[in-house]
Amino acid sequence: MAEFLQLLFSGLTVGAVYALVALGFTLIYNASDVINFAQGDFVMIGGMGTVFLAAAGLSLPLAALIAILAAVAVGLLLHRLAIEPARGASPVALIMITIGASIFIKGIAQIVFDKQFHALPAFTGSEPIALGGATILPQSLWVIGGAIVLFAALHLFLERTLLGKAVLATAANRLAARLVGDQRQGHPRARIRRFRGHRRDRRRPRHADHADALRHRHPVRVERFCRRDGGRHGPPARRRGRRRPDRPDGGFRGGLYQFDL
Amino acid sequence: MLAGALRPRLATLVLLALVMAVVPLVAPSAFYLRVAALVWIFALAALGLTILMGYAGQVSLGHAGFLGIGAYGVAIGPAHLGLSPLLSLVLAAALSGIIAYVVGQPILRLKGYYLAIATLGFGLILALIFQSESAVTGGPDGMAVARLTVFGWRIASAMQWYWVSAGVLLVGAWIALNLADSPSGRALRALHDSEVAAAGAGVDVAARKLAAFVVAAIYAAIAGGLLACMNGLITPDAASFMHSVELVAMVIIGGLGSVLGAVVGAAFLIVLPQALTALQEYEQAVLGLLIMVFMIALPAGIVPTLRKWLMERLS
Amino acid sequence: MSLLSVRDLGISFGGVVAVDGVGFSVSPGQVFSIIGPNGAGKTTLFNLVTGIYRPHKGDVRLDGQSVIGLSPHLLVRRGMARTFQNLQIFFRMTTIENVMVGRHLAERSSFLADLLGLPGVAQQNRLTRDAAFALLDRVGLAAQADANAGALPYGALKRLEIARALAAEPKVLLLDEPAAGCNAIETEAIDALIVAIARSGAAVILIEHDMKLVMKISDRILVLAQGRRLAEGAPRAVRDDPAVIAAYLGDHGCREADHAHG
Repeated sequence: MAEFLQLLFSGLTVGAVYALVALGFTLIYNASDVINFAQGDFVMIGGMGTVFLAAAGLSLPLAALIAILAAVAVGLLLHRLAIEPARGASPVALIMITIGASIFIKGIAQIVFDKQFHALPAFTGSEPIALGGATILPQSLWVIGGAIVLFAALHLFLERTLLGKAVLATAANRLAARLVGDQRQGHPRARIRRFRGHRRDRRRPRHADHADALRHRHPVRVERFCRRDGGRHGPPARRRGRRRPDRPDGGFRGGLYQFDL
Repeated sequence: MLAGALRPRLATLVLLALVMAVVPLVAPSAFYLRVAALVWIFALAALGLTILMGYAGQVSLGHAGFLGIGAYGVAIGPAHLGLSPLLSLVLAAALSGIIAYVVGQPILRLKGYYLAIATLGFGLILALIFQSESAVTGGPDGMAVARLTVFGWRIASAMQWYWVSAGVLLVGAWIALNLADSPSGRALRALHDSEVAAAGAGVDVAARKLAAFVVAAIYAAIAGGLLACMNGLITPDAASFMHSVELVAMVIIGGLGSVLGAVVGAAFLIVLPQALTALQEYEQAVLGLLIMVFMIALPAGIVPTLRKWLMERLS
Repeated sequence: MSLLSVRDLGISFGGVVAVDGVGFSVSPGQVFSIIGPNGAGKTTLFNLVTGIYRPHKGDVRLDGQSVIGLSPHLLVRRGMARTFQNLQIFFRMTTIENVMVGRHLAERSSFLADLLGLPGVAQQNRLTRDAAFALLDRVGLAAQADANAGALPYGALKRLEIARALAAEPKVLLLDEPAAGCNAIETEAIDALIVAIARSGAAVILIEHDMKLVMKISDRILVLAQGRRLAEGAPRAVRDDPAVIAAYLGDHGCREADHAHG
């Protein structure tokens, strides 16, 4: 029983993280019809960014925030410079573009950051909590709890706000959404990342090459997605009409977790 | 994109042969011959892939897996089974074809993204097998490969490898060109454009797709075998996702469905890193950037674009 | 003696009955038209007959033999060919290559022979090309034989599809809206083509919305509405059938039509 619980806890933790990654992946696919092979690299940016910024002296929350913004910026650039121009290309071409982006980001990251393993401290300590014969780390609770909050928030956003519904409409049928007078000329995709630092012990390194990490069964940094409340409302005139349905919106608070696979 | 370009079949072969003849004359050292041999070998694999992706329109993101089968085949044959490297190469190619035949039937029912991911998964499985079965494959460190001997003649020097790989590529190109201008080739190109209409014309779509898949797998296996023999060493890396991506990039950058395109694409992606050794650190970033730029700016590929440009100039 | 006989064919998609108990038969040389309002199930019926969908009930017999469950490419072998409502042209091939694909079943060349470029292949290519050229000539596209299919105008593409279907030398030719989107001149050309095909001995089954065309060339007409057979018979009889008028024009239109006819 204890063993089952232990497995359950770790399964839920890892599952929560993967669910968030998958959520972002699905949002992108629904909005842009693109399989984003660079998804893992956004995770990596958040993680490594947080690490390096924290090491440079910033507080963890601030470092995480900036790292998230950096990831969002990269996502925006990727969309603007790579996906947008290739609109209408075959699935293979789009896949190859995101794969190319993934390779590119990895290549740059290895220069900007480095190729070493890194660690971050946990939020509220790393003393395991005993629960039903098994133990669970406080950070795991943060992960699972945070994930649930994010899912709920995204659900509310998509179902209850006008902006969210516009995103869904765009995902369902882009042309129709535009034709029914989407004033923003397309809607930003509410794709946001959330990162949190997590202290891992030395047995769980972080690796710049997320995809390799997955393959070699190293611990995985994962990003979590949250929504930014409110979006950016404002008169269309100020927007310069450049909004597109699948542009990632901003995000703040972040979290990044590291788990043994 | 193939339409109208099929008649100069002989022209393509002659051009290729000419280039092959000229390179050794201008190559400053054996190193360059080795690089050229690498180009011919990867061009062979890319050629098979262009038959699958360009003619038949079926994407494969796991093609390096077949390369690995050929490579490990020529390694394992002599080392564990006592077979000659040449026989091992033939058997490995056959095995690759058989595996493609078996795996292709369920996989090729998928389309678009699903097919891409399924082939990706298949490639990963093979790479994993090569990595894990250490007793047979030497694990992550790979294994040594015996030198290729053809009827007593041991192929070892760069010059010898250059001519062997060039010759094999020429034969491969000839076969691919034959296929393009034939009933089977038309059937493949038809099902690429519209499966339902091809079926409506009597084409057995499933069987044709499978045939293309098998042919592509055999091409890749032969290329893999040659690669392993030339390098004298094989590691599981050969079947990695990165290699599969590079193969697809070669095909698309060079020109989907074009025989010359496969060669140009291979040359591009192999020569470039060599030329950029000064930028060693940036190699990955540059590769990624190149892939993106070409997919966005030159989606038709180098050879078809050049051809079109030439035709416009001449008319 | 009927060439194609369809009996009590039915299919439903997720609870929606698309075709319900439709039956008809066609003899060689006949032009048989299927008409009906949008959503009546005409193309679905075609898809059932040509093996793209498997019916939930009913039977399709070609030359007396049941062909239910045969996949489309096998049905072509038995002598059934079709065109598509939404133009399934091979756009990456030339005009003549499109028709050459249609000759696929008549070609005698193995995959291996094709790979090795054996002499038989070149000869086969020549034979196929000649046959395709003759067909292009028949539909009036001989001049554009080597042009890219993508460069042809819409009406020409419609005729190209017919040529491709004819290449299989079918006994039954199913044309799905061959004149859709065509102007008056193009429609005339297709009209003449269909009559010529029927005269050569094949049976032609036609889905069409262009009533003038249908009334002019059909030997028999089947009217479908909501997946069911509404009327069947000679053009005149169908045209005057009140149920048909009601289905097409609605009650109000019915009255208007009555007024118009006086």
